[in-house]
Parts: sequence; structure tokens; C-alpha cells
Amino acid sequence: MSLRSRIASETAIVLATLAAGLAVGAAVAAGFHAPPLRVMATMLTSWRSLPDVVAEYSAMLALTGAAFAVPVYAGLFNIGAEGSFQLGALVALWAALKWGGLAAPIALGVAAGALLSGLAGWLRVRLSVNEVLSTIMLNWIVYWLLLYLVATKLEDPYNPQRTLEVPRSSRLPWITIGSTQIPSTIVIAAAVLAVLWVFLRMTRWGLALRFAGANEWTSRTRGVNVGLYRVASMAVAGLLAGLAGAIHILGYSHAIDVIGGAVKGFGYNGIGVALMGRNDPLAIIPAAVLFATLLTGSSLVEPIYGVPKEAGDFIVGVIVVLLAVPEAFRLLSRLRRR
Amino acid sequence: MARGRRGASAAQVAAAILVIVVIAGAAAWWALGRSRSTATTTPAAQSQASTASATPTTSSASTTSAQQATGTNKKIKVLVLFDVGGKGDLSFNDMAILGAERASKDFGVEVKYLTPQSTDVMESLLRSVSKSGQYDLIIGIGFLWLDPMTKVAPEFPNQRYAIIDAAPQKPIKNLAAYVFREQEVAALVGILAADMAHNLGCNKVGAVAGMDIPPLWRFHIGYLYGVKYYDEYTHSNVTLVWTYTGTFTNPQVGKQTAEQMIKNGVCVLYGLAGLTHIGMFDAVKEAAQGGAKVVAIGEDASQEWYDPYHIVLSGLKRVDVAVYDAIKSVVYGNFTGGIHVLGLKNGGLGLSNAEMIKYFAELAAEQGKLPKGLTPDDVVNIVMKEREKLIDQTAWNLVHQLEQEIISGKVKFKTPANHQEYQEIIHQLEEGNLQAALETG
Amino acid sequence: MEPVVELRGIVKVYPDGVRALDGVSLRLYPGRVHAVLGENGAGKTTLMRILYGEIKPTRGELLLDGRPARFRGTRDAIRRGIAMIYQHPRLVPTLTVWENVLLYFASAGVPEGEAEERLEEARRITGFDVPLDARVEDLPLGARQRAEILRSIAAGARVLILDEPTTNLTPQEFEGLARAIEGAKREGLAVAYITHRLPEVKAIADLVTVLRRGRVVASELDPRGASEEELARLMVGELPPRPSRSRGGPGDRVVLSIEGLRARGRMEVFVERLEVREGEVLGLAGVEGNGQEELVGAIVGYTPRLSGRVVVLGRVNPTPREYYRAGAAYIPGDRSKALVLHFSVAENLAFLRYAHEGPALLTFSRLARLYREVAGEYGIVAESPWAPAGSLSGGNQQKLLAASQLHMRPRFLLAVNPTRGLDVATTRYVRGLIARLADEGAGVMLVSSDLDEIIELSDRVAVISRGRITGILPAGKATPERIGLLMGGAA
Repeated sequence: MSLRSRIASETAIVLATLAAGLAVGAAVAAGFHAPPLRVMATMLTSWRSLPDVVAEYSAMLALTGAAFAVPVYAGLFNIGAEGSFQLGALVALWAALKWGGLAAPIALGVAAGALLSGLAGWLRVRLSVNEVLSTIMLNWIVYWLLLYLVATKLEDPYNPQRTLEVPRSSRLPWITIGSTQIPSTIVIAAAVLAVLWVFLRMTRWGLALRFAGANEWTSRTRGVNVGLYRVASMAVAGLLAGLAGAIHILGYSHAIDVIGGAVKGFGYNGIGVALMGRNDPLAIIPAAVLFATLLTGSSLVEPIYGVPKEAGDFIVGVIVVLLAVPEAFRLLSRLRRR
Repeated sequence: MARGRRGASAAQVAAAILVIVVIAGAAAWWALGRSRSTATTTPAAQSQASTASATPTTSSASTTSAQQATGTNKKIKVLVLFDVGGKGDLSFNDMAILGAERASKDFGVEVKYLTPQSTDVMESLLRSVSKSGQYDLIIGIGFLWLDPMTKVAPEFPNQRYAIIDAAPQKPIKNLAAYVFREQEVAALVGILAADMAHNLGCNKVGAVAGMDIPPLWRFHIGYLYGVKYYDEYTHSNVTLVWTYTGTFTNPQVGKQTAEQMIKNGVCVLYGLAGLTHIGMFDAVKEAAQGGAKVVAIGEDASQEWYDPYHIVLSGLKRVDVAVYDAIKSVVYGNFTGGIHVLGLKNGGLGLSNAEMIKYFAELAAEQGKLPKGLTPDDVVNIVMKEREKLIDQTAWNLVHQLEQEIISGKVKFKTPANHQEYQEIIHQLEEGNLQAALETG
Repeated sequence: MEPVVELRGIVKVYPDGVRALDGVSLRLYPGRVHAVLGENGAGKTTLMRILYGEIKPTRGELLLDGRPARFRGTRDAIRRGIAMIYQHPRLVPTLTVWENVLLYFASAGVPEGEAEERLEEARRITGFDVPLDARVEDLPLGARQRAEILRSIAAGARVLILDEPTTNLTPQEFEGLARAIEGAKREGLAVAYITHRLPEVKAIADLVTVLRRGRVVASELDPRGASEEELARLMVGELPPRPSRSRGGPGDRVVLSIEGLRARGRMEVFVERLEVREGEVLGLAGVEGNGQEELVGAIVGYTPRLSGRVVVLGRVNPTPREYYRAGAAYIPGDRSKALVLHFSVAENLAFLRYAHEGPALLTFSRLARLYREVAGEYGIVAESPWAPAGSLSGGNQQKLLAASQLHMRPRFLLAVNPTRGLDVATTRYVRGLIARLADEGAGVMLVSSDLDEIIELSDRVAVISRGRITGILPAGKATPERIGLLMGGAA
């Protein structure tokens, strides 16, 4: 099949599954005696009421989606974007409180994420510790560390429900478009994903990375250090997720609440985004926007139509699962072969 | 040839997707349609029955007077913003629904609900609904709404807001903050807990607490006060073991903490840690089944339904009353910003009674969470029987005595301003100085 | 004589519009071997899969014992006595041979009670002996093929289809196969023998039908009455000339030298001394699995060297990266292992060409330029540079692999089975490339299990057996007999 016809058939599949998902969503809405088309329309246009939320979630999910996608190219399944995201956020917050400014918090947040994920990659390459298990465990370690620090060292004495806030000097600016304002994190995310795409598709190292994941034997015979590429792919993933966490704190949430809600779920949702985007950094962007739009929309339909939030989440889940199914099949078969 | 195979597998995937779609659609229609029909009927039906003695009574005529009070024919609209847990948490959010539905029935106001997708979007969400201007009152449930409320409320001076269980540093004139004087209910619980410990043959009561934050300080002071109050009047020597778990969301930690406490001879455990103390309930149940004499006490909502043989009491934080009062103030046109303190006197706090136990047991039954083979009525009967076994009339008398002292204002608890003050009060109480917990004069 | 099976006017058009067969007829007679000869892509396998009920023809009919028959699937075909032995064995690898036999008998409708008796009979007919309790994955490919033939005959096949059966066989194994086919003929089985190898046709077939691009170009010829050259021309049309070496003789410079090398992969190899000079082709002959893989890996540097020295273009014991950077190239023996078939042609090319060293930025235009350059020079036919490598024919994949290495202008080339599975024309073309490279002054080490290839190209022939070099012969003395003896381990 030629490239063009492959893209065409892939697009057709995506559109068909999207239509199917929306149909199921409409059916669910109808089950609640809510007007199905209007419910779906509300969900799909959530950016109109909450442009900043949709923009921020798109940016975060695009980055964490990429954090899942990159190691897949090297043949690894990174479940650790969640941990890297939270660690990046935590470290950035800490650095911002300590030194202020943008450089230190971002650099340290990114480095922390990269180290955490790189550790899982190193364990896999050196000690054959399955990266799925190690990243999940690291996620939990980070999560408990985060909850502990949020409630102790970083707590705002006057607002014990959250940490101290990022000082003004460490906040990323917002962008004003007409009368709406959105966080600048979306610009950072788009730029990073574009660079990532160029790296993967247009550089010798990107090519070597993809071959290392697709065919270890041929890579070794061509002098490619497969282990190094694997560790590096995990480190890059951690870097992306850590960056997401850092700019989320600096550009949007400014603090973490005691239940960690401000930094929870981005990593795991990123997996769905990566699968929807067929692991391609450029396709991940629209996948992230769709996911963010639906996620935001699912809470908007509640007050308007009386459809509970869970039904909205169910609709999101159906659409994501349907769009992710083909890629998930592909990855699962690869996992089985391993 | 390879192409032929490829085509076939694409067709299979398409077919598989179609099948999934049909099944998922059918299942969703059925399941969600069903849950809705049950969910919509009960709270309204229940709201009447559960009108506890402490709730303000209103006549059906109030609907019209309310409309007149606001001076318009427009129906008053209220938006309730849930805590992240959302509907069905059998705690804060469900109690908020209880209060809102009751207000809706009594005053004919229209109530809408909204569950935020996460804590970090609360501020944007609140700003968005404020901007829409379609709600006469926006109520945030739980302390996580405090920050967004303090930031957004000043931006929309004509929008009325209420927040339950948290208060801003400085009063905001269009934000009504409803807080509870937790010491009052904790003190009543402390008396009963000490008596139960006495009757179970041990002399240690305990609490599995969440995080070391001001509301929990207040609980601690009240609980310890109650225990010491009991000791003083009955000349017994019950002591309190208080443990912060550091989390409101981890049942596993709650269970481990409770197991440790039981091992150390604690026989009455008070859960003050949200989800975390669900694990405490499990630990108590297991220990009791293993022959230990232990009981548990719930908090916030009436939690006896979870294990009626071993959870015999709950301290109630009446979020429903707070929500009801907030809506009522808008209906009658006497909404005021600032802090509104709820306590035993105005019905914002209390001990679980048969009605509340039954109401929450029914909510649990709807969600299929009630222990197998029990009906809501069974739960009430079991709990009442257990209470008779475990609590003497003397203790109830003490409870009523203290309750009267609180309501009459004779006993007024101090609210510590900082951690140091809190620890000083605890220290004094442990020394037996009951006065240390109270406002002087 | 009445045919057992007859295919009449078969047309097969695939859903994507490719016309694989265009009115092909074929008759199979009892007790006769009918060779179906054709290049890769001529439609031989498609025709056989139709006969075996695996795919349905677009038009045309199938007659069994003179009566029209329709197969709904391979199970139908098996029950009607048609058996197919694929190019690559299709046994369940995790089961034993015996379990595989029983599985097959179940679909053929053979009662389990008769299984042992029937297997015994089949063993007598074919002369094959296969360990029944061995797990299939532990057996070499040749033994798996023998197991498949055995079970097909035991299940009562009347028609035996062999699709390129010698792909995975050593010369000795081929003789065993020929004897088995003889036995089957005596029992009255009709045999269809699919191949593109002319010597096999002459050795085995009673009849030969030649396919070219989905059409019959010659039907039921007597192979003894036709020369190999004639058959080849029928098969491919015009042939490129046989490659010839100018044989100017090796130069002075040693490009590869091996001294006391010990290396271990799946087996251990030890090579006391081996040299390749510039302008020279050193052939390494041997039965597959006698240490070639390990030796090759130790030369390139991806198999650990335990002791000794490998010097490639002056670089002592190079890592793979150093090996290529020194100016050496490597064509691996298994193209499906060396390429990533779902990556594009251009990406495969760029990776194999530049992985060790090359431009940092590989833009689409640069990849396209590389592809145009290489495709033009080496005659690679692909739909586009962005088509997946797997969409290329085997011959074009092999050309792609070879071209990526020759494009480096190497001064030493290590080539393993560079023409395996290729049709005559492509084989000649690839061999020509290697000959030309040596003539231009590069040193070549040619590792091949194809003796014709070794003899045709080599200046000297080394023979490997059980991990040791058993002899080195100069071109003049390297006859198949001498080499064969050394391959068997004789000194």
C-alpha cells in the first residue's frame, strides 16, 4: 500500500470509530432523557466555556502522550509518565519557592522526570527488570512522596488544603486571544512535539532509535547501542512528562492540593492519547485536544442536562477506547512476541 | 497475497469494533437508564422522612413567600459544586444533595450540580459558571473550593457564593462560609466512646485521624474533652490514643493504623480520616470476628450501614443543614457574606439518630453497597440494640448535660489559632484541666 | 492417462486489482512429477493455493477425477486427498511431531487408531525417519519438512504439492527428498513440484509447465528434451549474462585477516588462520549451521570474540561501528531479519547505509535522493521510496540490502547467501555486482551454502565444518566433490 492510501485508510478508520463513539455517547445521553445531539455538541464544544482548561489539558496530555510514545519506538512500554509528571511538578514547585524565576524550576523539574524514567530504563537494560512493573512502582513512590511533602514541607500554613503557591516571578504568562485567555503551556507543548517529530522522523538518531525498537538484531549488527537507546528513550519520556509537570505548576495550577488532584491522572490518560494518536507526535496533538475537550465537556453536561458526570466520563471512555483499539492491538501483539 | 490478508484483518477489526459498539451501546442504555430511574426518585422521597429534629422546619407556604421575598417571578437557580468525589460518596456530596433537594422542595428553587474533572480546574470552572450569571447562588462543597472561591468571588461582586466547611482568611462580602465547631460533636462522641470502652472492659479509646490540619485539631480537642469529662464525672481512667495517618484517601493506611491500635489495647476507634478510616472499619470488623471486643465510630455522614454490628455511632457534620441554610438565606433575601458557624445549637452538628442511619443505609442500598442480607431497617435495629448493650443511661445523661451546657452557651470551645496553641490545649486537657479547652468568661 | 486433478482456465484477480493468474490450466497425473517452473511472482504459489482450497479463483474450474469439485477450504482439500507442503513448514512449533500428526489426521478424518500403522507405511514409502516425540521447534527445518511430507502421505494423500521444497535443504537432504518423491510416485501419487531452480527440474520432474507473469508459456514439456538455458529463457524471457570475473589475481594488501580466533554464539568456532586480499573473493562453503553465523558475527564484531585477532582493513578486533567506519560492509544472510519490513524502503536504505556514520539530518528530500541514486544504480523496483520494504518482492528486498552496502563503496565486503531465494535473473545480477566489486579491487568474503555460487565467484574456497576450517582450495581445484568431502568434515 502506498503512503497516501495508508494515510487515507487510517484516517477513514479514525473517522469511522470517532463517529461510532459519538453515536454511543448520544445513545447514553438519550438513556438519561437528555437531548442526545445537544449533549454531544456541548461536550465537543467545551472549549467555548472553558478555553483555558481545554488548552491546558491538551498541552499536558500531548506531552504525556509523547512520553508514552517515545519508548514504544525503542520497544518499551512506559507507564511511568504519571510519576515523572508528578515529580516534575513537585520539584518545579520546590525550586520556584526556593529560588523563584523560571529557569531553575523548569530545568530541575525536567531533570527530575528524566532521571526517574531513565532509572526504569536502566533497570530494564542492565538488570532486565520489566519496565512496566518498575514504572508503576516508581509512580506510587512518587505519589506518596508528593502527598507527604504537600501536607508537610510545602504546606501553606494559611491554606492547609494546598501547598504554598508558585511566586509571581515563576509563573508562565498567559496568552490573550480576543477576549479569552489561555495558558502558554499549549505553545510549549506544540513546539516540543514538533521538535520531537523532527527528531524521530528526520535525524539519524531518530532513525536508529526506531530501528533499535523494531529490530534489535539488525541494530546491533550496524553498531547501534540498543541498550543506550532504550535508556535514552525512557529518559526522553521522563523529560517530556517532567516538563509537563513543571509547566503545569508554573503555568496553570500554581499549587498542589492535599489530595494531589492538581497533578493526578495526566500520565495515565496520556497512554490513551498516544494510542489514539497512533504514537505519532503530530497525530498525538489532535488526539490530546479531543481527549481534553471531551474530558472537560463531560462535567459541563451535568448542570445543563442533569446527566451525571459519570455518564460523561463513560462517553469519553468509549470514544477513547474505540480510537485506541487498533493501536492497542498492534502494541499488545508486539508485547506478546517479546 | 500479503495484501489479501491485510484486507481481511482490517475487515475483522471493523467488525469487532461494530460488535463492541453495539454491545457497549446496549449495555450503557440499559445500565445507565436503570441507575437514573432509581437515583432520581429516592433523594426527594427521602428528604421528607429524614428531616431530623435539628433541621429548620418550614411550611409549604414558604414557596410563595420566598418568591415574594426576592421580588421576581423568576425561579431561583442554585448551583452545587461537588467535591472531586462527586455524587455517591455516601458522605459530604450526598449530604449536600440531601440539603439541596430539601430546599428545592421547600422553596421551589431549581438546583443544578457540577462535578469538577479535577482540583486544578476548579478555579476556571468557577469563573466560567460565575461569568454565565445564570445562578443566584453557587455553593462549593468542601475545603478544596476555598482557594478558587477566595480568588473568584471578588471578581464577581454581584454573584452570591457559599462554601461549606472552610472559611477564607478575610471575610468576603459575597461569600458565605459555613464552618463547624467540630469540638462540640467530638466531645459528645468522646463521652459515649469512653463509656463503651468502660463497658467493653478496656480503658483506651482511639482515633484514626487524617491530616494534621485545623479541623482535625478541633476534633482532637473535643474528643479529648469528652473523654476527660466522662472520667471526671464517673471517676474512671479512660485515656485517648490519637493518630494522624497523614492522608484522607488511603484505606490501606487506615487499616494498618487501626490494627496497630487494637493490638495496643484500644477498643473504641473513632474514624476522622475520610476514605482512610474505611480501612479502620475493616480492621475493627476483622478484629471483632477474631474475638476481640472492639467497636468503631463514624464521622461526617451516618456510616453505621457499613458494618452495623460494629459501627454503633457516628458524629454528624450536617453539610445538608449548611446547604439548606445557604439556599434559604438567598430565598428570604437575607444572604450575608462572612463566616457562619454551625454547631449543636443550630443543628449543624449532631449524633446519628435512627432517621439518619436509615437514610444513609437506603442510599447505600441503592448503590448496592449495603452488607448482604440486610435491609435499611435491619441496620437501624442492629445499631440500636448494640447501643443498648454498650452504652449506659449514665453516659447518655452526661451527653445531654453537656449538650445543654453547649447550647446554652455555658460551655464554649476555644478554637486554636495555630499549632502551638492546639498542642498546649491538648497538653492541659491530658493533665485533666478541662477548662483549658474553653473560652474563658 | 487420466489426470487426478485438472485446473482449467484459472483466473485470479486480487482485491487490489493485481492479476496473479490469467487463464492457467494444469493437469496432475498419478505417478508423475509435474514441475511448475517460474520466477518469483509468476503465480506458481497462487495456483497451488487455489488447488489446495486456500483461496478461491476469480474464474475457472477444478476437476477431481474428471468431475468438477469445489473446496470451501483447505480442510475440504485435505479430505479429498490433496496435501500441500509449504515453502516454510507450518507445524505447530510448541507441539511434538506426533501431536502435529494427530492434529492433521483429525482434519483429514483419519481415525486415531490407524495412526501408527499408517505412519509406518508412509515411512516405508518415503524412507523418512522423524523422531515423533521431539518438539517441532527443536527440529531443523529439513526435519520439519520431512515430518510434513510423512504425515501427508500417511493421511492418504493422492496429490502432493511441494512449494519450493529445497529452500531450506542442504544438498544431502535434497537427495533424501528425491528418494521420497520416487517412493511416492511408485505408490501412484500425483506430485506437483513448484520451483524456479532448473537443475532440480531436470533431476526430478517428468513433466514441466512454465509460468510467466500469470500465464502458461510452455505446457507439459519433457524436461529431458530441453536444456537449462532454454528453460531459463522460457521462464524469464531475456537473461542477463552470467557474471564473469576478470580474475586479475589478488593484490598484496590484506583486507581481512583472522588469527587464532575463537568465538561462541550458538556453537563455538575456532579459526586458526584466514586471509582475504584486495581484489579477491574468498568463498566460505559449508552446510548451514556449521559455525558460519558465529564466524561472520565475530568478524563484524557483534558476536563476542573469546580470543585471537580479527583485523579488518587495519582495525584490530573492531566493534561493529568501527568495522563499517573502517570501510567494510556486510550483507547479512537473512533479509527479513536485516530489514524492518514495515518501515519504508527509504528508511531501511538510510539506516543500513548511515547507521554507523552519516549526516545528522535525514530529511525526506535527502532520503528520496539517496533512494533515487541507489534505485537507479541497482535497478530496485518499488512503488515509491515511502512504500514499506515488505511490499517489495524478495528480489528487490535483496537488491535493497546489497545496494545499501555497495553504496558505501566498501574495500571489504562480507556477503552471506546473497542470492538465496532469488530468481535466475536477480541471482545473476547480484552475483555480477559482487564480481564487479572484486574486479574493482575490493576484497570479498562470500559465505554461501550454494556451491554453484561459491564456485562461480571465488578465487579461493574455504570449507567450514563443525566450527573448524577443514580446508582451503584454490579456484581450479574447488570441485563440488572436493568441497562436498570437506563439508562432511574429511580433511
